[in-house]
Amino acid sequence: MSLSSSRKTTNTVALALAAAATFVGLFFLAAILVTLIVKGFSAISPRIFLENTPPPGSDGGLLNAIFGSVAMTAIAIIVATPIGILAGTYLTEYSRGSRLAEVAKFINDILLSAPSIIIGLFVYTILVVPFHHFSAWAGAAALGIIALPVINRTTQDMLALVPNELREAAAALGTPRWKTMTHVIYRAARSGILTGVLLAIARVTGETAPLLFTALNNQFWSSNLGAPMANLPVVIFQFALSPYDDWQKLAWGGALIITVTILALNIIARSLAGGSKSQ
Amino acid sequence: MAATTEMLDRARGARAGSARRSLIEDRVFYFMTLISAVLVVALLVGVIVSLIIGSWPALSTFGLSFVWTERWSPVKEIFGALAPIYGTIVTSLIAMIIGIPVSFGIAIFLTEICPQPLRRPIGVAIELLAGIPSIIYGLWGFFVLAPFLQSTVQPFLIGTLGNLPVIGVLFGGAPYGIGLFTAGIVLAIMVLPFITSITRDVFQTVPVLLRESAYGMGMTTWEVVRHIVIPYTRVGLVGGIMLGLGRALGETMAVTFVIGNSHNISASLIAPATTISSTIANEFTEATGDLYTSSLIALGLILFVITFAVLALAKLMLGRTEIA
Amino acid sequence: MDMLSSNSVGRAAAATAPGVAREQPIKVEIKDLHFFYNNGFEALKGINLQLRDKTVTAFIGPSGCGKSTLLRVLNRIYDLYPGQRVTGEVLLDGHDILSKSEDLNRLRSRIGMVFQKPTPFPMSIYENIAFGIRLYEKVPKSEMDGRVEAALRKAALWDEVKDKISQSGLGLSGGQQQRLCIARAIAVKPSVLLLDEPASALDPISTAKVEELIEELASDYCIAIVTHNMQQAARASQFTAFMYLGELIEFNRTDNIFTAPVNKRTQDYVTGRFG
Repeated sequence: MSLSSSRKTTNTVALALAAAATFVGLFFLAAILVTLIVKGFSAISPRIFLENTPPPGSDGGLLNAIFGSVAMTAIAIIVATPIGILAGTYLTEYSRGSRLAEVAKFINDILLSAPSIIIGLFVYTILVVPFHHFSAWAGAAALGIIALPVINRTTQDMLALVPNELREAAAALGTPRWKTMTHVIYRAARSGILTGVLLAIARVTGETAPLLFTALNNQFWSSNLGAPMANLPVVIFQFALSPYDDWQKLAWGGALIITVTILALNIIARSLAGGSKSQ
Repeated sequence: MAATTEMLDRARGARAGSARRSLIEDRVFYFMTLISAVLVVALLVGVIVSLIIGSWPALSTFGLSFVWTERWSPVKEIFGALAPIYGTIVTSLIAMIIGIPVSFGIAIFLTEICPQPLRRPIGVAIELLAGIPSIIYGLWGFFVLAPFLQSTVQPFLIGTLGNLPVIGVLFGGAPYGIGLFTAGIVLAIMVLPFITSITRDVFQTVPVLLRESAYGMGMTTWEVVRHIVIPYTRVGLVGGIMLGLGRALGETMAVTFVIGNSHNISASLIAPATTISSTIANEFTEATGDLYTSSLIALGLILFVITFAVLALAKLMLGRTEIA
Repeated sequence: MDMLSSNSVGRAAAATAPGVAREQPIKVEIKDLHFFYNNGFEALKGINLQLRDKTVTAFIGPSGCGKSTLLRVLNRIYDLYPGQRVTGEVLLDGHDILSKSEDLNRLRSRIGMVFQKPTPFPMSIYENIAFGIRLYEKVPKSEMDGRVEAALRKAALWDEVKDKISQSGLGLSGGQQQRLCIARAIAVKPSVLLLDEPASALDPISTAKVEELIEELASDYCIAIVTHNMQQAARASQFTAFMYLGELIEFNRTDNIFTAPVNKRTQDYVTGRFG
């Protein structure tokens, strides 16, 4: 009797704690989003998209930083996408059980979770030191190296979901292997691979650490890829820690823009992946 | 009938040329995939090699004592990694102590208790935490969490736990708001979605029959979790924790905002400190002199070795199925 | 009508020389064929048999007897999986297709295959057919339309899909998808068709349509069909091979296999007494 009631009590307490933990998690999500919306919205105005970053004490926006982020992200994704898809193709389609493939899969998963600041150091050594100056190219390279393992891994996972019968059917028609991949298998895995690319964009959009000493920052408008380039994350970092109110305000505005972009990408990616599963 | 056969034969004859060309195209495509896969391996090798070369001046000057020297003096060009290493490990430990039970709680709630219609929205909401970039955590930690801790939680801790013998020293000093404790809390929130998502996945690997037969014996939900689910998924759970730990150790921006950037090792958990990644982030572009830069790269090498080991261990424990 | 007369002649011939009826030339000749999986398991143990042109040959036998494996050797689809190997000879029009130098893509364009589950490609119905044709021929658009229509007509699918030809092939019913796959296979004008349980995943009505189709196709192609369904084998084929544990137990005219099997195990199997 007392044993059974103490078991019940333990159960109730444990489950209540689990529910409380969930509440804590949701609370922090809400707290962060609410702060972001309250502080960010007051900073958002047309000006933020139309003017460049100002010196302290005067008005301005984030145009040059937004442009820099978009430009470097675009270059990174354009380069990383084909490489990531091809690497994922090798690892699922061409390498059944080979040593190289096992090692490459392992290494890719390590790169996937490796600290991004390390990637920044790496790119600094190979693309900044030899040329003696920071550049948008270096920033794009760092972002690309961060995007690559994401795309590679999603491609592996998505190709593994394509039924083998489809490969056999294409082969039985006399389709060359490369054409089977490009015309049939990629098509079958299309929405999944696209999900991976979107997740990669979401991942690199907020990356700050690898840009600190590759693209650096630029107070002014610059579209020169060989020179330092402004970008949202680094601007947010600098402005937030500055003592100036108007800079801090811009930082919150930038933070809201970045977060909304990333959450939107995540939601689109999620619904794409959900759609492909039901097909 | 005869006409059909003739037509078929003609079509069959015309195929030799295009087939040969596609053989070459097949080789080209294969090599493109192979080179891409090799590039991934080469990147990691490149990272390791560049870190070793970059850190060589520092390591050859200070030797292994670099690792256990506390002093960090850019002016006198004496650099030691102990304070950043200490800060990295302590913040990650705080993050794990807070993050693991909360993550497990959420996973248990979502798999065992949560009403079906709420599972997906709550699950997605928790996963959205993983999508928020680290700089946002930093901003929030710096402008919201740190002032709150400074004005309420920390004075309370100092006033109560700080007066206790032995552990009191962990809560001594003034309430700065920023420091190890705050960084640990921010990291805990950041690793929540990772550990939760893997915990959920491994919980789902428990065979339904096993679960049902445990309930069939009259076990309570908690007893099923405690005596069936957790033991069954033990290895995967540790793997998930290691993955979260790997994230916490290498996290840069969120920590940089709230750590305080002090190279002193203090016994107090609420004191300002520094971590490997935030030291690099804060000082790298301002580093003057090769030895200073090299010392920062050496810090990067140490961080890489630690996270590599933790992540490799996580992967071995999780097998190939889990990912974050 | 050609078939009817040849059947009556064949029956007499078969009595004297089982499996070597003479009315159609030999298209594929299999000589002492052994097949090994990469774990060393021998799935085929010395198969000898001939497939005749414009004739349907059915392969029956319990699961795992090697009948599907045999089919997968004939177009060398097993080559996709490193470690699987064969010994022996498979002659297509007198030429050994197992040789290392064989151009597999070309071989497979001559030997079409339809699988157990429908495998439409993730593209439109039209593109599903045109894709295969374009692999081997440069065909102007107007001619391509005709070729696609002809293939779909041949597969008895045209009337059902002509209004939605540019919609995805994945939107068709299972039976339609399977006929699309057959249309895709014959559009590249192979001379041999391999059908691996083509109706096993279909409902009875679709099955009937596919069987009808096979009968039609038999006048143009050398067809090998693997089936679990005894009635299907009896209805659709002129020759039947009964396989068991990787061996060819009995090979003869279908009539003989079902009415007067020589081997005890064949008899047990076709009468349903097989465990």
